Amino acid sequence: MYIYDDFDETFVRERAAQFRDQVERRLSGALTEEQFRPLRLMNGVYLQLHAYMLRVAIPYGTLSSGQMRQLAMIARKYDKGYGHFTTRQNIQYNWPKLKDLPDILDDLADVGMHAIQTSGNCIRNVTSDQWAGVAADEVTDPRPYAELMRQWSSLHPEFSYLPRKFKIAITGAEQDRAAIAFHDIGIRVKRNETGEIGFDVYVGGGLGRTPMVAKKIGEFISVNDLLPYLIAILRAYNLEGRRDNKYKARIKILVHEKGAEAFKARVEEIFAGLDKDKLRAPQGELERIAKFFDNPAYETLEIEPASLREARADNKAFDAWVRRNVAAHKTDGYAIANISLKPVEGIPGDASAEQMELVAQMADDYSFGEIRVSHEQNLVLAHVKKSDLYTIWQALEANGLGTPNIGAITDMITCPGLDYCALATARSIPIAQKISHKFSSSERQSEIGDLKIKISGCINACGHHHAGHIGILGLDKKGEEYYQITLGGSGDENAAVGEILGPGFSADDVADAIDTLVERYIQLRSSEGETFLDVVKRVGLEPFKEALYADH
Amino acid sequence: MPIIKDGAEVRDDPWLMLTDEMDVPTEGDVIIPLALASEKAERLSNHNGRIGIAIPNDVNIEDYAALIGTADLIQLELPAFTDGRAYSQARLLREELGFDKELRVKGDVLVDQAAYLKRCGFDSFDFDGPFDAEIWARTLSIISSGYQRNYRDSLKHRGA
Ligand code: SF4
Repeated sequence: MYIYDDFDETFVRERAAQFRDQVERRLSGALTEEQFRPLRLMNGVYLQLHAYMLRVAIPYGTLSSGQMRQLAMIARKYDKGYGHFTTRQNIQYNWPKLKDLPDILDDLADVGMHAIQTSGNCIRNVTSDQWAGVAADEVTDPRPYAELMRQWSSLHPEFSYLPRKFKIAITGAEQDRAAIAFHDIGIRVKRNETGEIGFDVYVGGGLGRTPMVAKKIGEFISVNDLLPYLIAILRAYNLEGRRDNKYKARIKILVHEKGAEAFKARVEEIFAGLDKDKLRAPQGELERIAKFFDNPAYETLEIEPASLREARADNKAFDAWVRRNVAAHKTDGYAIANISLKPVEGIPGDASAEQMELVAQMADDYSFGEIRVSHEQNLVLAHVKKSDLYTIWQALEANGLGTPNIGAITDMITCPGLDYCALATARSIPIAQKISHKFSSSERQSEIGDLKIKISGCINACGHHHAGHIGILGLDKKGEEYYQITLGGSGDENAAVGEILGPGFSADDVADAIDTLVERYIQLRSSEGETFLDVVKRVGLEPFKEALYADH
Repeated sequence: MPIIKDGAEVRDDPWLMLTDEMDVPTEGDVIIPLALASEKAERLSNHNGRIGIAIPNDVNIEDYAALIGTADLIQLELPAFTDGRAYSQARLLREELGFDKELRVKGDVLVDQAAYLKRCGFDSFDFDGPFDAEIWARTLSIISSGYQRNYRDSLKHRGA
């Protein structure tokens, strides 16, 4: 993974010092809360219902064991002993004190971490495939480009007061695990017949009140042109994006109102005028970065060790975990071990300091000291020997981290909702807990197969409900929480926005409604291989509506 | 209304901002709003002094390349500190139109933004409110390095 050199280190230290100065000016009254607000936001500090919240950047979801230990230390020292991994592959602390924040940033800087641009109307932390560099279906490793964009976007002088926040995601695999179609800019790394790398660039995707699937405007943009091309898009947006209404300020609205073709033409016009040589990555910089992402020292191993086969045959729980949580690695004898942060009735994405430390230890012992965070709020050990899986699982299982539900119905994305968030119209965590309780049996989950439920506590859609195979949106009707259900959303390479089924359900009835939908799906599917989403696509919403509303 | 240039308050700013009702004086340095530029063009041609142009932030800078080429100062607007259009306009002026005279920003400038504004090409700042030279200097120098190259760049860059 990428390691800071002196340059990066100085930069992050100075940024921490700058924030300390800003906090001091706020505490002394030299800055009003209104003036301080954008400054703290640009450094990941929100004011929530009960306290300040700090969001720490985990660039494209990759961190070292040492960094993970530091995150655990911070959770213990400044928070209530846990942290929350987010859908942007970051981590949030819900209870820090304003006066402690500068110290936390110094502690982060000690391990090459920061909170730069994890909020605010600027370019946010760049996200990517959590299996980047190891997935069996990968065309090219997107991480060097993600790191290049991280650097380029950091304290960007021109793009720090955009109309709204700006999110970039990049993938290099066939299967899109980074949901690029729902980002302001989505990038697909490609390789042509001659082996050259280029980027397809999609723009104007997003969830929120007006969900939209991004449109492709750039076709096989060259590596050399990547940054100038991004600058052209951002400049067009910064100059022309709407600023009269915060709900219409995202780039998706500009692209939609102007039309994708016209927007593309504008970007190309700006791009043509750029003095590109000054804006490209410095000579040799990409090569320097790419070296950090060379393969670790894999050994030559048996493809399928006998010990693994035996352990699976002997232990049903382990076998269930392997089936759900272990994914194919590009290297023989290795596997990708996914660690679920969605235990039954737990808080999705939360991890205690002890759990973080255990994962750090597992990474040191078995996975080259590296950990990934997925946008589905789980953790990943990306390079483990298949022969070590059983030992790893035992340790995870003993610490509440062995839940075998990756991609299953209880592996839900859930926003913080009314328990934490000042904007929420309803709770979302308790709904997730009820659903997780209802489907807690792992046999039942494996019978159901792949099914993504996503829950948001208001129309801002931080829980990505539009992209859920089943989406749940918490609303408020005259002081009562109720939940609207959508079907057929998807964040993958066939991205789609879910459709509303009908009238909403009360907090007590949502889990039963989901149960009814799942039962209907089981009746409708033609084989076990036909997933929930496949069935919705084949039969449409009607049979599900009937099942839910027939007796009402 | 301090005007800040090179880290210090300008005591006698020579520039006079013209409004609708005002006649163009025969001499002295004047800033004329873009909307009045053509109306007052004739008077301006006999004017004895420097001419600046104030450009609103919803204007496409490239459409006024010729006019901008004759100006001695361009003033852009920050109606609210959150409205970042002038940052892009400034870069277009500096990097594409090659404007190399004084570039002033007027409006809701916060000291914490000054470093970004400077990197985009602004060299004078006109805003309401208190000016503290010490905070200004500290805030502008606290970050000594940058990942992007900028106009008249004074930051450190990797490898340099
Ligand atoms: S979706 Fe709404 S409730 Fe949930 S985190 Fe976002 S703003 Fe808060």
